[in-house]
Amino acid sequence: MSSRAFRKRVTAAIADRRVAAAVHHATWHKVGARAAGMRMLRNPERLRELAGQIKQHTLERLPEYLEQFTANVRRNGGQVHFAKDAAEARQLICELARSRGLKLAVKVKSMTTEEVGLNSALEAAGVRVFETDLGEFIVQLDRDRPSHIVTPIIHKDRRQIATAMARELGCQYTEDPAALTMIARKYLRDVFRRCDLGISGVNFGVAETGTICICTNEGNGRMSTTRPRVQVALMGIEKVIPRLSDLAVFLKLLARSSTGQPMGSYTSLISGPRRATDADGPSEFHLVLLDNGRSEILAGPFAEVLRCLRCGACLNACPVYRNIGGHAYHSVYPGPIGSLVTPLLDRRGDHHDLPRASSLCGACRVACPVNIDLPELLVRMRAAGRASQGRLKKLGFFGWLCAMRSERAYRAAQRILQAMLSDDGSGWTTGGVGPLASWTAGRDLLRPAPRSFRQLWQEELREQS
Amino acid sequence: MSNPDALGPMPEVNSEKRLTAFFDGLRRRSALKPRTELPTLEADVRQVGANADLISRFVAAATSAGLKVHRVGESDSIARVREILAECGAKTVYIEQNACLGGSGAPNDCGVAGPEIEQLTAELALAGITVKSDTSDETLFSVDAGITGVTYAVAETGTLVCQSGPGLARGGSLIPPLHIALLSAAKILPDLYDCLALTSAGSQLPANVNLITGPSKTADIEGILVTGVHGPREVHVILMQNAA
Repeated sequence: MSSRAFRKRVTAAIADRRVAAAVHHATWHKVGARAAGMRMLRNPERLRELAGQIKQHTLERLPEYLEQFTANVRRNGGQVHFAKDAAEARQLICELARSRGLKLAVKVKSMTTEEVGLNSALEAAGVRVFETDLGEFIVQLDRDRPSHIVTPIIHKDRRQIATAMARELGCQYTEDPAALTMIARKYLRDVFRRCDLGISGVNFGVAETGTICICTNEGNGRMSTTRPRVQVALMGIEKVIPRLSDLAVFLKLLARSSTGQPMGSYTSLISGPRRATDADGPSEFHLVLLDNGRSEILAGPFAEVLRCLRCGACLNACPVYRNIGGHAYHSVYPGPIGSLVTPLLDRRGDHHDLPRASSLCGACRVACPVNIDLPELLVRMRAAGRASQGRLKKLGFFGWLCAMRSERAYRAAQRILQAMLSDDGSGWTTGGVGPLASWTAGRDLLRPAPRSFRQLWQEELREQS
Repeated sequence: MSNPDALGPMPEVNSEKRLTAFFDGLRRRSALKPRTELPTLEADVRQVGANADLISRFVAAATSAGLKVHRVGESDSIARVREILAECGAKTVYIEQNACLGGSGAPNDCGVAGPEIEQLTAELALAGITVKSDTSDETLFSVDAGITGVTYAVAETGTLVCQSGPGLARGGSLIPPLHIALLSAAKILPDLYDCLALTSAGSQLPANVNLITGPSKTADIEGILVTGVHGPREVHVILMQNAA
């Protein structure tokens, strides 16, 4: 992704008033809801600290906890697979569907399956795939892409949704959210009745019990793990936590951080396939453990990002995300956390602009339920991406360095800037000339005073003497 | 991945070996030193203590989560169920067979069908309601309401905990558009922490434990709350207290 392409997308996103207004409204609402939800807690800061500590502890001993977790999944009757990258994950799940003759898959909203591009692979392998989260279902119908980790259609208004549903499902056009939801319910009920494969991500994997935890509000998570005869859970290796009681910390923070709710409607704790005497539930349970670059992150200076719960709080809190929306990031993971995770997961891609799309105001850090120091990591990521900066920019910074080191050069630079930066009378300059034009286009600079402090001081001294 | 026929054999047979190799590699490469302690939780995590008024806390939290709570004496529970069914126009119901509806308050004591269920079934049938207890698709997708027991509940969050097991269908509290949960007040635990500590205390968890905190809901379209997406539109909790 070149700088120019990124700038173009950002400009287009800001220009689209409809999307900008929808994202603005939704994110501000969530910021308020989160704050209210956190205020209900006796000690929210202590809980964030604990959550970060538990995650950090687990990351430091990840192999042990993964070993314990996978052993317990097996003890519960589940099968464990390992996928080193996205291609292997796709291959594993497609082969699982093929070998068992599975034809109709239902999916719980999952960023990890999005990351590996599972849907198109399954479709190519002859499996019909239905997203069952309402937002994801609409994204799929409209052949769109999600623009938020938690609220995938944050960028769409009801008219766009109504149009897509009427067009794709042949239903009566209606803009009423309740009616639209009921149309989706009816349509997906039939799918739930006939499906044979259920695919989900994992919010938490509990090492001591071999349990996976899935959180939803709509009940699609429960449907998709109850109805099909085969269940597959794709889990990033960083999702493991030590104890079931640790979930108390995370559950108190997760929904609050996402939507402001004290608890989501449904938290499912799943420990293997149905037992022989169970009334219903899948008869096969497969866990696919996904690396896809995570072990490399763990071995580097950005390991802290692996604490992330994918709650979306940093997106809502971010003034940049609020203004440009998710699509401008051109990544499965947008927002502050995405600006870190995207370059780390896709090392060959050119994402050096992403960590710069931040004002470093720190709102994300305050919102993060696992205490990730996002601004600090963003600065570190900027430094790591130095090599890919434009030559002119590098030259500019080199010049700045020289000017700051020598008094003479500094004074000369002052004079040059005075001449180059136009004055529109306000004392601010937004229209630099030459190579400075692109710099000042996005930044207001205080115009250098006509006479510098040094000049004034010298004059004063001369007058006095 | 464009040609599914070109897929190699699934590495399932090797998965154990592959996992071990992966864990070993992870151990060698990890740059992190194990220096962060695993914290002890209870004191810091707990929001509701055992001395709190658990019933009022539960009612407040559950109501705010969108559950409809009905406080009744144990002998009035069946009458209240009948009223709710009548109000909602429900003609057919599924009743969970092994549910422990009354309950001694021992949280895991849920294995036996109590006499209450037979009584409930009989009284509803007398009121002209078709009662089904099989867990077939035909039943669960066609009934107007599902009546289930609750393993325990959480005062802090207003959560109902429903477990899978013999006679305890996961679909019973999920598929019908109306869910009626019968909860004995003695089963209310103070905090989410207690609920999870208790759940992990046994040797092996049930295959499925669901923490239900509200009806099925979404706000995906313009942030407007709509209930009854894939699960029940309404959840009624019959909260039974002893007359004493």
